[in-house]
Amino acid sequence: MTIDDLREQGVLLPEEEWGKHSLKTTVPRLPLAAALLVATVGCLLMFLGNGGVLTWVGVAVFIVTLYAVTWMLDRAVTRQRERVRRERAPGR
Amino acid sequence: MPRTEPKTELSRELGLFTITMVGVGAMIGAGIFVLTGIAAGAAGPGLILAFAGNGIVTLLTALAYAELGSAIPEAGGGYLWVKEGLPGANAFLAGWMSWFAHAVAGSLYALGFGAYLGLVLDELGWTLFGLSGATLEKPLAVAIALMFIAINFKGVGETGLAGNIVTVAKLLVIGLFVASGLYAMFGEPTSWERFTPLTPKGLGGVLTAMGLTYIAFEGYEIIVQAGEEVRHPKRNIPRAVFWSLAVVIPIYILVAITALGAVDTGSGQPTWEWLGVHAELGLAEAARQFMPLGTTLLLIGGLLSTMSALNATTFSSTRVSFAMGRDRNLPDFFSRVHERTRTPYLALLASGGLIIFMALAIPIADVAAAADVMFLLLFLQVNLAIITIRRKYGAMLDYGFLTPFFPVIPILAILLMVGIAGFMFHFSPIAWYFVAGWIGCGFLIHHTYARKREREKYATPVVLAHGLGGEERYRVLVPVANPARARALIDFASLMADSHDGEVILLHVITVPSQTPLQVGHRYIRAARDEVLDQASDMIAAHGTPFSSTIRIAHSPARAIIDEVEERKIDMVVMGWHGPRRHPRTAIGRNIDRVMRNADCHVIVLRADDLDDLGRILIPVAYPQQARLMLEIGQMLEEHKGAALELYHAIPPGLEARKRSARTEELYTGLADLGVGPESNESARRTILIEETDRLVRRVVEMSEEYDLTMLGASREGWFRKQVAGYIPERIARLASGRLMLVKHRRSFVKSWMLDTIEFFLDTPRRAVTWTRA
Repeated sequence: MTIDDLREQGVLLPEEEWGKHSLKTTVPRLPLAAALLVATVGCLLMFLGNGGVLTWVGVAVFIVTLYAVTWMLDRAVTRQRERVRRERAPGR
Repeated sequence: MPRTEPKTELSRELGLFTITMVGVGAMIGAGIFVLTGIAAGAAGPGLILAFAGNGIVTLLTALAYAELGSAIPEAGGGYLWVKEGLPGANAFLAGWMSWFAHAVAGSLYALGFGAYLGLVLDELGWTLFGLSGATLEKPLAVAIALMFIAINFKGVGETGLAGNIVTVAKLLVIGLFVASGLYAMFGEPTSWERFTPLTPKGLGGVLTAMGLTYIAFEGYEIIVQAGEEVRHPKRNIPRAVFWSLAVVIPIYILVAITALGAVDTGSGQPTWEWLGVHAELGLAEAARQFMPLGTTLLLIGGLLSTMSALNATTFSSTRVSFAMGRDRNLPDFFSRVHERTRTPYLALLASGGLIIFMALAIPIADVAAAADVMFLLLFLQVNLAIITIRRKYGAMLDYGFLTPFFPVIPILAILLMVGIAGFMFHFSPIAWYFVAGWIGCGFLIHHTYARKREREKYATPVVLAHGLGGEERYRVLVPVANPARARALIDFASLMADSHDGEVILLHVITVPSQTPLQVGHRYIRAARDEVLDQASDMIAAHGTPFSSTIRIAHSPARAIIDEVEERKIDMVVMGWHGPRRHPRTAIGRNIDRVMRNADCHVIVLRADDLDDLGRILIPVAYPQQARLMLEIGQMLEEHKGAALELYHAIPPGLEARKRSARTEELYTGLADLGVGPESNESARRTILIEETDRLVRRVVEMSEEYDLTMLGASREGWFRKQVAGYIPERIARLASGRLMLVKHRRSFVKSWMLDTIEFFLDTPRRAVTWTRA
């Protein structure tokens, strides 16, 4: 597969924009890392709770964190579009 | 003549909510109905942990889908990205595995349907031919598979409205199941004790359950496959991927909690064990205890889910095999469409056959394991593809979402998926045998069949061929651009052909820029024939060597040469070189580098106007195998041109005497064993000059001035040799004056594959851009 194939599919940026857009993620990395860590801790609590209270705390922590992560990722999509728009028309 | 067909685009009608529901509908389906009981039997109450763990693992792959789905929102989804992002057989294998994965998933749903309908018959007290529902599971599975083969043959697809109704019905049934279960659990405080111990089968059981239920999380593949129909795909596709998982993961956890907590087995048997015994019917049996009209509703939900999933998987496995037939990866009959129904009936029959065979051949748990392993391997390829696509094309794509912690996240996803898929071997070795057998067959088919047909499809067109025969003989190809500078090439090629009783093929490539269609090249055919090939033919005719000539049109001369090598089974390519160019990223020249790297034959690069008066030929030798072809050519020049061969080997200064002696003895023996050149150790000792030097490049460059021709064993590949030897032969070639010959030996398939793969992954985006713009 080559660049020509991608061009044919119409998914390439116009040539003058190549390399002009940042490839850095717009997801806030520290909060995301913290959330993923908390989600893993949630799983650990489920395991350590062995079916007791800690297990249910773990389930709750996991689900809440899952929504926090989803929210962060959702916001990152919006920010990415805004950034691309800014990079296309700097100074506006 | 190539035709340009208008591109068909689908209308973009799906908003964020609809496309999220498509993903949710795809995930909350047959998987959860059929697999909960089986997975509970494997993990115990740890099934909750398995769903949460799968949530994390699947989220990592979902990030890759969100990124690629937003940047390349095409209908092909994962298969397309693998095709773009991975080299060689990967695209074929992705399609091949996808076909099997969907077909096996279809077997799972057919078996699930058989079990659910069997239970319905038992509930009603009905029998069929005197057989109970339980004994009719497999025949019913075959019957429903046949029914959906017939439905798909008629071309009656699931309509959008029907699909939405089925999704809402499934969600209602599941919602009622969870609500009733939680109500029952809060009314009975001892329910919560059923979760202790949480992992009666240890963490291994949890891992097995993760592997078994992974298939229930693969709905985001459907989201990206609908990419061409989504409004604002750069924004909505990644968001739909995330939100569908946010809906589905908690639902799965709640289903596991209620199934495990609300059932009182009444016999002291742990609930998880009881669910495991009921396997695919576990959820329906659980509903009987705490849900009004529980079994009936669950059976309706299960039947609806398995039917819609079976329809979808029959359709998608047929579509994959049809596409592979159309892409010439599978025989043409896979892409044959029925005249009346306009459906790919032979692809459908093959896929249906696979579904039925797998349903009959192995038990349902093994079927589920095989489908899961296959999907895990497919997603693994996608996680590899995201890394290469970002490296190669990242600067040229418009991303709607970028994966954080890149490339740690895809690598982590790959490791986790390898772990889970590998662990499935403990649960179901038979599933892995089927998977390995299928992949092995895939490799074999690709190597012996699909690769050749793919090449035929994309090969540069031959527009003029003269004197080409089908006879098997030694073939020397000479690409000719300017006959005035081709004398030495033709002279050498005819010597080589004569010494092997073979023929010379003259090739002229009409190149057109990549922005221009190939058919534009047709207007230059006559000039190419009159001005290039006729003159070159006259030169070779003077030697009396059999020859033929051909003209190809291509965007790149290297591509045309490689196509000619593959189509005509060329044994040797002889190319001309007119000295170093100032291109920072090529060793010899862009086209020569590419031919040396990719042509499956010997490649000779000659920098000389003629081969007259060859008195002394210098052959620097690094190791015996490298010298084989050079010695063979040298002997021929010795015989026909009266040249004298002198071999040279450099040893690093200060090498211990014992090591030096061992090294030279090894070289003498190796050279004597080649069967060309020196006939014994003694004659090798006399022929070769051994010298201590730490400035090999400079020394050979100096020596080349005293010789009439210097032969160098070209580094066979780019990256690997560059790291090891820093392109030593190419550096010499660029610095040395006088006549020069670079010799590259044909490489083995395995070596070629390994080095191409290394090079593919390490190729930089800058290079890709440079090549395109050049």
